[in-house]
Amino acid sequence: MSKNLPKTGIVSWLTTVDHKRIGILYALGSLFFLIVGGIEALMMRTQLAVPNNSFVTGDLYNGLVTMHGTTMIFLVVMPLSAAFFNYLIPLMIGAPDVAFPRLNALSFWTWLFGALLLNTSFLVQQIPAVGWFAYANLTSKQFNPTHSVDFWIL
Amino acid sequence: MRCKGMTLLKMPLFVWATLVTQVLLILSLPVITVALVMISFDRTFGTGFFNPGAGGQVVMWQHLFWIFGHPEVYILILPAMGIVSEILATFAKKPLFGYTVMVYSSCAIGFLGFAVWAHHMFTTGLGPWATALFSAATMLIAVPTGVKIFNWISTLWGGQIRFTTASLYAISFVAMFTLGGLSGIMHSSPVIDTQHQASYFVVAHFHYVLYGGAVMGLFGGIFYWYPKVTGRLMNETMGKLQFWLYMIGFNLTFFPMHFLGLDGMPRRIYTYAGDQNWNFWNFLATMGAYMTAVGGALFFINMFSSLKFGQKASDDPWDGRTLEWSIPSPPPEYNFAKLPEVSHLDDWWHKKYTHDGKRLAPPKQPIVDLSSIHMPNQSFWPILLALGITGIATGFVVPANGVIIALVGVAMTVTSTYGWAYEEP
Repeated sequence: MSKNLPKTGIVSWLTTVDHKRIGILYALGSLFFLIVGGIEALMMRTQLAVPNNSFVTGDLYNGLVTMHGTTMIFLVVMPLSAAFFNYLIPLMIGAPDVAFPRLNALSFWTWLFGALLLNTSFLVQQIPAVGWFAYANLTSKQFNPTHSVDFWIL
Repeated sequence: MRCKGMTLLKMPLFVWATLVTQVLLILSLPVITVALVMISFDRTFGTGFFNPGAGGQVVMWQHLFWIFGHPEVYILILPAMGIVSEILATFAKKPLFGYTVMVYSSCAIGFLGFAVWAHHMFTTGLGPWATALFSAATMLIAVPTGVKIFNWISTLWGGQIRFTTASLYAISFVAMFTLGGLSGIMHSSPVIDTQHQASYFVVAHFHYVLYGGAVMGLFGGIFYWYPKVTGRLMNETMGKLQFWLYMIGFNLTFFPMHFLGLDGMPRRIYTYAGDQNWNFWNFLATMGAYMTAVGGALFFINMFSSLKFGQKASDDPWDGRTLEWSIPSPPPEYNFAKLPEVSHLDDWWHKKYTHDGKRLAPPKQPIVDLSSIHMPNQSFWPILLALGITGIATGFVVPANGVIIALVGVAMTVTSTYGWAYEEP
């Protein structure tokens, strides 16, 4: 049944295994989170602009520190790099696609859903607040499957 | 998958940087995966891996985290280094200076990246031997990194440099990364590090490396490859304006943090008293951050408007050196109608120019029967499998009925895996 999937439109992007499309999806996803992480950074800087400011509370500030670090590292710089890997490596080495195209697609979707799950903590008011290096409970399923399957490279 | 003639030392440097990054990912991510599983067990099932009361060790978490965490920073910076190497060579119209040494120094950075994790823990109290060894290993990393910086400068030296937005970003990468690297070497001395630990000096350092370094490199990459991806160029005027807003805003934000850190302002505080002489620098940093935000907004406007109104790009708008510029922009689904054969490093350049720089007739796109090209089919199993895994993870965090949600996730995961396995390729 996969043979009859449409070649254009939303469904074609959801089911794509083309390394170029996956690269573009990574780029769009990570640029979206660049905005999220950027807003977190601006909120922190606004709070620190003048002494004894009360723009955000201490608890929210801790959450922002954690989420800014996590977002920028795992949801912006790594996937934006992955966008370049995906798009360019086959073109640069003269190959038609990556070695395991479906696995490549799985990587992207796992990353995206994990990233969204992590950010739903904002909606439910339970923001992780212990620095990018300490909080772990929610993140284990999230960024790991994504990148450990990155062995498609050669 | 490499095409004919593409031996390892003919691969573009970006491909090498990617390769080293993937090796780092494969070796370092299992460590954090295990650590994260351990901490979930601690939190969900009441085990005590990191709980001294139950015979666990708190410092073990630090070790496990940084065995992953330090290679991670090279995972973040190496791709940007690769991108910058490609951009500088193209816009200086010269081959990358010291290509082979660049490859080896990338590998050396990757290798040494695993031997320095404890420099994040000098103040933990590991004892003099461990501290001294990790300090020495950290200083050693400056060698391959310095080699790279000098090679980039030598690539630019005597080249016919074109100042496009992409090349400005690449050049600023070299400058900002050098500044971040210098404060990094300062940290490698445990004595100084003890002073800097958890101060704004550290914040300044890693933002110079990751933001002035990695992010600037990635932005350069976006401007450089945008025409290949979309078939249109991004607006250069807006791009340059964004670059200067970024460059000035970034330095305004993070350079003062060096002073704040040395003056004793700790990281991760949400407020401070007004009588500590920190007011001016903090205010300046915030203004810089707003400037960067304006630049960022400009970037998004540029990116989306260029999709529609951007100048149409040729297949090879920058006079590039590597194979991706030999195919149409945007590339067709099958990439190469006829898989290329290469005989040189920067083979596309050698197909366009003779050895003494004379322009050859541009090679034509080969005409091939397209129906003969086999491409993999689309598949919806990957996205369903990803949803299943996310379902399992959601089960751990919702307050009620977590088990049911997790079981639904398990069912979806299993079904999708079977569907995947039995799908026709």
